[in-house]
Amino acid sequence: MNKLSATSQSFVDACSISETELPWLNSLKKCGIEEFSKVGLPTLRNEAWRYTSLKQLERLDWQKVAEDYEVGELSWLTSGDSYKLVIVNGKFNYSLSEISGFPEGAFIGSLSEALGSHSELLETHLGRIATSKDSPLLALNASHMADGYVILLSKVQLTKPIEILNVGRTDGQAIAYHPRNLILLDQLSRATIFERCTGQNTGSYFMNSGTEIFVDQGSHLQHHRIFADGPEAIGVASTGVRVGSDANYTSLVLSDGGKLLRNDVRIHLSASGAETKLGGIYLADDGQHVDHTVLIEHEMPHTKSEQLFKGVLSGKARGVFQGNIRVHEGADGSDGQLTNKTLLLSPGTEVNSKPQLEIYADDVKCSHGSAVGELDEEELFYLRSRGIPYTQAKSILVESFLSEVIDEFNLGELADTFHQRITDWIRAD
Amino acid sequence: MLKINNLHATVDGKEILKGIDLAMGFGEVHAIMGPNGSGKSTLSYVLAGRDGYEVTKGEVLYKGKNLLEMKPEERAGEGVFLAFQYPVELPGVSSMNFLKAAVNAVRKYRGENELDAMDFLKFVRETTKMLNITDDMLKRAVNVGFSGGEKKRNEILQMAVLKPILSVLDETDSGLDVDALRIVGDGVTALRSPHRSMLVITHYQRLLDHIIPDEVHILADGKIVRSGGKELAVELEEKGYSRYTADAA
Ligand SMILES: Nc1ncnc2c1ncn2[C@@H]1O[C@H](COP(=O)(O)OP(=O)(O)OP(=O)(O)O)[C@@H](O)[C@H]1O
Ligand SMILES: [Mg+2]
Repeated sequence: MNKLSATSQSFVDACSISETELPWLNSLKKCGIEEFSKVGLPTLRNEAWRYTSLKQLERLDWQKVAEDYEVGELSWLTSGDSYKLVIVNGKFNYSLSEISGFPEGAFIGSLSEALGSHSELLETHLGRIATSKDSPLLALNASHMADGYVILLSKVQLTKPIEILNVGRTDGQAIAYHPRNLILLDQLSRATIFERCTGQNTGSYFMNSGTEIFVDQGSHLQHHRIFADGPEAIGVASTGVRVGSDANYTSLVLSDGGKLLRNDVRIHLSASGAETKLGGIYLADDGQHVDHTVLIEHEMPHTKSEQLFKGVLSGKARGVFQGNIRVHEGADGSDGQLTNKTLLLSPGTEVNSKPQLEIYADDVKCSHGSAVGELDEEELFYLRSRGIPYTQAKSILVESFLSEVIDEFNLGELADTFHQRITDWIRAD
Repeated sequence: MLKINNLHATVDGKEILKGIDLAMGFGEVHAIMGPNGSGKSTLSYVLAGRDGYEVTKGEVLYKGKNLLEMKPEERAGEGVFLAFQYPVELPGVSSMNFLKAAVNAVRKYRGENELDAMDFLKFVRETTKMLNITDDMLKRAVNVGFSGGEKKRNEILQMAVLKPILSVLDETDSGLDVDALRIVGDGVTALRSPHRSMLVITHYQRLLDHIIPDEVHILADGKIVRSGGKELAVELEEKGYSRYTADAA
């Protein structure tokens, strides 16, 4: 067994599993810490982490979230009618959330509440969609699992969107937290979730979230996310999704914040007719490291996946995209498409794009493509020759490059928000 | 208004323009004709300020100012317009937004107030009608999927809304059918005024039937080898360039 790094060891030491009345939960946490103790934090030698180093974690002494932090003003993306969840440093905050009027029989609330009210359902799913074996970070998350949000819908079509705000906030002390979230939709349920991670000040925090999602039996989930963490934040968001028969998981992710972000998504298309459509926009500037890693598992015949990830890097930013479409034996007639394009705005940027296909089935329709380029000199000149100043010309081209991704998704009133973030980012650049 | 003196320019280290002299007054139309590869487009890019075209000798004075010192967008603001031989496609950029950004950028440069969406629409409608440009074309991405003729008409639309003082038309007549040629000819003629000048690069006499030039220049191997009146264009059409390319060689 390898000796753990000091930081890994400190995370192991920080884990105190108090025996609850739920034996299954205890064993889930224990398995998590066992798994994590074996491997520790991933290093570049770990194949899945070849391009993203978590060495930065070793520079600080990460503390648990002890107190309840005051939160500042919250801003919302959805105008009026939405259910609103606020999670501060991984802790569900009921007083700031607005969940009244949630349909009868459905559940929205904190993980700790759901463990009491829906213990059996949680036992069936928690730690099984995204397992501790999937990644060391998920194992670490499982061992520290304390709170997060839970949304349970069965035969429910929500008419209002859910907006989730994950606030990271610390004053001085570097904190680490490991929220675990669960979303279950079955029997023709439908929901739209806008989820955002934001940092409220410039302190250092390490958010290591684990989100498990099961969309089953003809249900549809739209899950759009914005990662806009604070400038000193290190974020690892691991998401495991299982999509069942004739169900659909659609997700557009935009990331522009944080010092380091790893958005790790693994989707199991686990029944015939399961579909997923993923979009990604990553914007990174000097000193930022952004990593979107996606693994799609086509486990059954006639499943479909589509991915379009586009990024713009500037300054000395580093961008990583790893996209893998794995078609399992017997998953005949699967259809998987993957495109990744990165635009480099300055010479100091670095990008690693690794699209992959692993096909063990017959009669599949799969393709992947990856391109890295600079702004087209001819297009820039054309715009400038019409009087449009250089910076505006650049911003027109960057926006049109990224708009293609936004246009693929039905974001409703949120489309403007996504466009605006891009515009603001270019302006700040 | 435009004075080009002994202009030499290189592209990728290769000398393309080898000493061009040309002078144009306000309100004048000059035509440049010349064989393929003689440097016509290179000259137009140098005038518009494209990167990668290095001027190694000579100068260009525009309204008395050193044109070569200005950025492309400043030149446009000052009234220089180039209708591209090969208009550039801008995927994802709607023609309408593009035009509006261009018009407002130039208005701002000229100290005029920017137009809001409504005023802009009114302003553009008059011109699109004249040039037979449909609303559908305005909604589409700039030049993407446009036919050759549509692209050229789109260049003239941009020219018409930007109201340039010096227009350089690089083979705007190539690829146009007879009707489109007339539309473009009318569009250009409508812009003629005592303050506006045009440099029309063409291979054919037919555009010059619509826009009568004051002078015709023949460019061969990076130099103007002959200048004359409009009859020179007719002569070229009949006899070809061979004697000029032979001269130049
Ligand atoms: N990037 C480049 N590197 C080297 N040579 C170049 C480059 N760009 C243009 N040239 C050369 O410069 C010469 C002039 O080209 P230009 O496009 O100006 O010709 P033109 O007179 O406009 O021709 P046409 O009538 O075909 O439009 C050509 O021989 C061309 O091959
Ligand atoms: Mg040419």
